Amino acid sequence: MNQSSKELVRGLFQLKDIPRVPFIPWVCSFAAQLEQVPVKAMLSEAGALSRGLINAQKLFGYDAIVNIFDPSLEAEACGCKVDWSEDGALPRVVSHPLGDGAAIEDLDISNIENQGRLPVVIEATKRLNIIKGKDLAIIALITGPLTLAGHLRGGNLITELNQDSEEAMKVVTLAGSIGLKLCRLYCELGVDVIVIAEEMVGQLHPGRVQAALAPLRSIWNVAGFYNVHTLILSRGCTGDHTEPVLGLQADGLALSGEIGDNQLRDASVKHNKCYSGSITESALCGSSSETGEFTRGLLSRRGKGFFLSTEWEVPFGTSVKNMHEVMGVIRGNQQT
Amino acid sequence: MEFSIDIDTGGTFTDGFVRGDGRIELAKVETTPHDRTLCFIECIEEAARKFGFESASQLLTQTNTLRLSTTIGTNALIQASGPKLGLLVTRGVGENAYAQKGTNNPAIDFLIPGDMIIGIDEEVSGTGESVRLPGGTEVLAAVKTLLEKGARRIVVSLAKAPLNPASEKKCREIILDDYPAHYLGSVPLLLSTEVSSEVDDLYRTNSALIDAYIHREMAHYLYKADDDVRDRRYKWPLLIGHATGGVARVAKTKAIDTCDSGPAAGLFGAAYIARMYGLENVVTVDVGGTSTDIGLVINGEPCYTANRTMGGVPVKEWVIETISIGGGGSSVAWLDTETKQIRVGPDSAGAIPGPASYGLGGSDTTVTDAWVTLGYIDPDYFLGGRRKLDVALARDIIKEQIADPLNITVEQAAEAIIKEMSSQSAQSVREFVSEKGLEAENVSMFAFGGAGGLACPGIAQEAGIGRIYLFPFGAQFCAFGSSCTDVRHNYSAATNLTLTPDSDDTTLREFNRVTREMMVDAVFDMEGEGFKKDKVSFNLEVVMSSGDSTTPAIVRWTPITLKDGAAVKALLAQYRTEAGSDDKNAPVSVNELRLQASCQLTHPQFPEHSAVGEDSQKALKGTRAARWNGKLEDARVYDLDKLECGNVVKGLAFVESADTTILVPPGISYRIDSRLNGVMEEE
Repeated sequence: MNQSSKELVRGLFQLKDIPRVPFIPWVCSFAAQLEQVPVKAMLSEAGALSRGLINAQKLFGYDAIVNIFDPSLEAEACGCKVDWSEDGALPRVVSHPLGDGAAIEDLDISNIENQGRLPVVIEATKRLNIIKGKDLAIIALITGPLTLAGHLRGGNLITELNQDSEEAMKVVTLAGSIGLKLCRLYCELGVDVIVIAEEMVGQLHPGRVQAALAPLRSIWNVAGFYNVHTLILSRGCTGDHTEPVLGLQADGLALSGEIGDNQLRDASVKHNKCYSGSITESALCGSSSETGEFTRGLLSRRGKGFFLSTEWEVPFGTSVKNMHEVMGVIRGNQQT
Repeated sequence: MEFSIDIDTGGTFTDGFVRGDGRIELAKVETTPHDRTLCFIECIEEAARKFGFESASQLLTQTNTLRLSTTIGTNALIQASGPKLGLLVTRGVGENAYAQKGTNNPAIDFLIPGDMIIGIDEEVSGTGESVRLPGGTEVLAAVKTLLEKGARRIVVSLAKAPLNPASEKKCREIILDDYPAHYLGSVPLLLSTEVSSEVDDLYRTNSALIDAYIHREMAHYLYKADDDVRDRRYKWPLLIGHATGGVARVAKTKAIDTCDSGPAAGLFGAAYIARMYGLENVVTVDVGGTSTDIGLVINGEPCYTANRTMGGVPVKEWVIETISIGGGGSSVAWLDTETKQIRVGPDSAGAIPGPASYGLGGSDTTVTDAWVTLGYIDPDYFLGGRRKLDVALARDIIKEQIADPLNITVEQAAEAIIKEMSSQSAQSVREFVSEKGLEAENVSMFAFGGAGGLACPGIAQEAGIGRIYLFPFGAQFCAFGSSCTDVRHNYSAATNLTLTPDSDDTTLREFNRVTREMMVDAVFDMEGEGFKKDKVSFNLEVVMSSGDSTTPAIVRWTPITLKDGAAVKALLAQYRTEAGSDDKNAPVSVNELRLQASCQLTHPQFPEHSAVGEDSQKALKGTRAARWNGKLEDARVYDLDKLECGNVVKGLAFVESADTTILVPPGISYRIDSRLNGVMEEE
């Protein structure tokens, strides 16, 4: 019997033998492009968000829907101001309450799920699960504690963390507790995978990764309680980050940057983790033959627990043809 | 002020048609598939805003009729999202859900797995006597087995049950004894005779299975919708549209009645308008994005059918007849490589990826691509500007797939696609009309649906239909149709009577007893709906057959009862006319009596307006280059909302609104009549 995409993705995280390579692109603002609506309009209304994400999946047929991809989401809910002025782009954080004089205690996060656009995303996640959750894996994406702490505090958080700053670590811990709360909320809505999108890992000294990202442990525990899988997503990493990130004990990782495909594969297989082959932004935005060639290259170097993904969010403006090309390569690969 | 609200929830959009304060307001919101009660309320809220209210509650407190038609039951069937069912049948004949030997019942392994059907020992004779009632031990063992296999609802459908439902009722008694309704472990139970009185065991079983399958989802949705409007201070019963063309409150609605109630309401609305205009025969053509549905109104009444399939499962339910003939805006045009002929459909590009001009990677030529290439659709004003179309992509795909292989220009190919689509649809319309014994030349066309205004002029011309009516509420036509419906309940009883010109009093008394029992039930139900006895009107249909007839004839019997021998003779004469039979003395079987009870609600009125003159200059938006018969013409473009009574638009022209575009071909005039509808005919 044919496996549904949901079974395929869950099988991937359980490192089972699955009949084909799953494709899990990080689609969000690209869905607004397909719907011909402004990104702000889509990200501000639960119906528009869920509809856009569902229609994008329906168009290409990939294997999971990610509920949001917006590194400013949690920051805005915590009181950071955001700027929507750039057409087609995700909002940008432009103020940092903790850097502007507020104390950690001044931040009211007790009711964070009702602040900013989080209610929109929570409602959209609920809808995605009701409408598509039977056949498709629903992925909840949470901004990583380093990124969120960076938004809250501003300045050079990474330098401080690399210098073992206690104050900086307090902010990361606070950000981790917000992630934990959202993780529980999403798990209760019935998602299949929690992804922590942490763009700043590559800037950390590899030796500091474990300590700086210690709050993730609690998030994994909560997800595990709900039988929800976990994945850490980052870009701009080097080969030296692979082992420390694997040591964080998520069920899978999607790392890109200066990392050899074979190194990532061998390390992941050794640690019994699933891992992604990530289509880079430049490959995705090149000609469709380049996109196809890059995808075929990734598939040829795959090992156990491999899935195909994009390096980061599929950019607004990506060619529809190129996304179809990726799907064509996957289908062709499945046939062979 | 008193308001009337009609909502039609479709797969993509939820439409509202709201009357009150001397005017009509239309609403359209996107359907919320995760919870369809949300879009139901959102649609009321949008209408409330248009009437100047701040909230839905303000409108609902002044509303005395609220009707809802929905596709949710049909969707639950198509998506196979119902609960696991168990089925008790008569042993030896029903284990394959009463399929004849060598055939299959499509309900098996779709609505019910084959291993969830268990036969029990019982018997009813061919004349309706109970020969053997089911035994308690056997019934309970069967139910226990089904529950252990995961059944969430049990259907009991026993052979010949409509002739005598004693065995089915005995099953209920046995099961309720062991699983009383007040326990959490109670078993939801449905008897086939509660859903249908169809004598054929297969069709009745299928109706019961469908009803049981969609019941949970329908009940949850409809009661929530009812609660939601009550919370907003609506104090009357929410009325639910039935596929028979009537409405009834939630508590008096069977789940199966609601399937396809939207299209049925549309045809009911068409019948209402046909009566208003005094039109004898009308074919309705509803052209949407992916399909075209047609129906027929004869002498002011919609045509009904008893033979239909629901989700591929055959049933005999007496409903308004609409058929899908394929061909919408997203229908795929392709080249038959052997004959070198262009064909359209049956494949559709759907909404996603849709036509190539959507820019979503659609790799098939579609009708919409041809329309945009020819200039019939403004690429910047498609769906009121909600989606921009890419003309270059449309031209490229037509060139590659149609024009180049045929060595013709892109424009010639696009025109050929439209011509083929019109020709295919016209052929279906002609066949449908002639099946009912009509000539297309004697029929008017009602065009609606988002693409009706673009597609129908060509279809009508090809089919030989001279007059097309188009409506300002054409994109919400099914919601409008709902506003023309009345509260209606249908009752039926299987009978085993034989009528001859010399029938004795016993036969007459039995006929009248069955009819009166149904009338008593009807009055009771209507009182439950809030209507007094004297407001109820009845229609009786008698399903009759004789030895020489292959299919039964349905006779509408206005006197309702049979008073004496003369009445019997009159009924038999009517039967002979319907069945085309000559034998005056042949005995005729009465297989079924169907009673329709209805109470009238208020319907929309279209006051007559005075003509302001033919000049439509005030509504002129500009001009657009469009290709017609191989020539590039400068077509005038009008704003539909600005056209007034008496205005005339002459082709080649386009009349646009946010929901639709109407093509007025050369030599044709489009006139806004005294009721503000558009009438298209030859100049």
